[in-house]
Amino acid sequence: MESYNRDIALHKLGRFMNAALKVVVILIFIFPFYWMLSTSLKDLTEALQFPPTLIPSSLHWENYAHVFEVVPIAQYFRNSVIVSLAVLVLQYLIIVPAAYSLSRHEYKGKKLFFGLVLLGQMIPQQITFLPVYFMFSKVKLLGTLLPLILPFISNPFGIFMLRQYFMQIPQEVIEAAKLDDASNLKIMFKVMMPMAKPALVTIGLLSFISTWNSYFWPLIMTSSESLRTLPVGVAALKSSETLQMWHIIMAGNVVLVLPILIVYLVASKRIRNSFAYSGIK
Amino acid sequence: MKKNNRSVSERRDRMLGVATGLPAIILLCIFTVYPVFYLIYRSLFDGSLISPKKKFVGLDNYVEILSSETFHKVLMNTIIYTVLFVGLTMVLAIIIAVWLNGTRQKKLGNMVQACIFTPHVISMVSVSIVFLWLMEPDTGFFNMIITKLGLEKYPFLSNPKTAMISLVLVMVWKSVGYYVLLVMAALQTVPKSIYEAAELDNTSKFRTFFKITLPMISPTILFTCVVASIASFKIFDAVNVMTQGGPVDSTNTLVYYIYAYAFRLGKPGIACAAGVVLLVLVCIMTYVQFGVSKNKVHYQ
Repeated sequence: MESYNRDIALHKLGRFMNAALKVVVILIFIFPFYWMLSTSLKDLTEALQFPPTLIPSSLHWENYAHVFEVVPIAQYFRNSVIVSLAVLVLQYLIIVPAAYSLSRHEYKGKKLFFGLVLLGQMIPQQITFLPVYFMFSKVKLLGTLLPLILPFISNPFGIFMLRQYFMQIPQEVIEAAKLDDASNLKIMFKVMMPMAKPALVTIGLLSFISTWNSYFWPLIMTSSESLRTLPVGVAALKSSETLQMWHIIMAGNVVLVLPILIVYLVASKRIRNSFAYSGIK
Repeated sequence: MKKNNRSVSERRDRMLGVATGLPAIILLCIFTVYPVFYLIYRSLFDGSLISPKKKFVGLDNYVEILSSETFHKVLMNTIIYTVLFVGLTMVLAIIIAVWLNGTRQKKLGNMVQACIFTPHVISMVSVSIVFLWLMEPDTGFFNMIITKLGLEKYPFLSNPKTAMISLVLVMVWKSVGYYVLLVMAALQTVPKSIYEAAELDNTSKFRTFFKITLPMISPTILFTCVVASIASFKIFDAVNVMTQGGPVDSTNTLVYYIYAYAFRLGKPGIACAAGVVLLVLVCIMTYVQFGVSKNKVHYQ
């Protein structure tokens, strides 16, 4: 009886330790975000104080107004929104017909086209950026947002994933629609698209997140302040005039993080599933 | 008549197929195929970023980078980074995934999963800036903990000895949640009956892990390692925001080198030659990836 009680006690202790460890892990991954927020609400003296305070002694929301004054962060924000939404919407015009073509039509050169899609997934931006930079410089489009949009609307991962989805739709469904005299366009919108909705959502989420967060490409393709996106603008905050003003830098950082964090809070499970799918393929 | 009709509709079908594919084909040619060839072509020329004038120099750019000590160091750094990052991330991801997979505290387990994944959707710029601040040598949070423990303040990123490992740890923190997700998906594919059999035989948890779980998920793990390595070759954002390749080139990696040569030192020829080296590395790893993924299908 006594050993039985001891076993129960040990078991309870084990469960407690396990839960405690989980809380520690959660803290490790949440704390840096808390630290960003907390610093963004301190004043300069408190931000640079050592040892730092865990909780700001008073909340300085004016840091956010200040960061909008030091740099044109509203402009960065607008550019980020324009680019992310443009890529998000325009890519569907390209990838949906392309995936349809790859899954439902027969023609010479289709294999080559599919090879092109695979190649597009394989070759990273870090290899193509210089030639693309020269190209846009030649046609004098570097002063616009187009270099941040055009290269990404033929999203090869999107074509690949949609093709897989379209191919899973039974041919009989399409034949039946054809017997009803449905046009190709109608089959596309009334039959294929609704059935591929999960893929369309996944592609959209992944594309939005990656465009919003993108730093390398806009850093290279934009030279003027007015074309910068948020990541480039916020990264530049830590140099120049705001040097050492960590409370201002963190306020800018919060502006960059918040939209994605909200999207993630709303659709956490869905986003994780999307990433899992893209990782396993 | 009927036959004729059919061939007409077949032709229409073919035309439609080409027409709907064409915009994507054109864009992929402009932004993927052409740049690859142009990169190789441009690597044979000297010249500046701004002026269109350039001079053919043959393989001179390659000779210059391949004989440069900095470039050797850069390649070495990229490989060290890749090995450390992939190794640490995968080991941690497997441990965490197995732990969360077997837990009975489902709610808390889900919360852990959601939290570790969060950094993966956040911009690398934000993560870099926050850690730059946490690791700040004078007033940073990490140094507060260190002094509380009675140790001296430590300049994590400005010491060439620890800059690289600090960078690796930040990247592991950012990405481990993603790999936990992939490993957990792989764990789902292991048939429950095998575990039940092991339980009947009173096999220890330790033995079950090494004799059943690990071999069953190893093809997926291998595949994931290859994909993670390709991603590691491309590290740039954290380097540019946190260290600019320094101190004394200790965190200078391949893509940062390419970027610096093109846009800071104004030598796009050298940058293109280094870009071709990256292209070769990516090609080799992709070849390995295809080999490994065949294996993956076979095992399943």
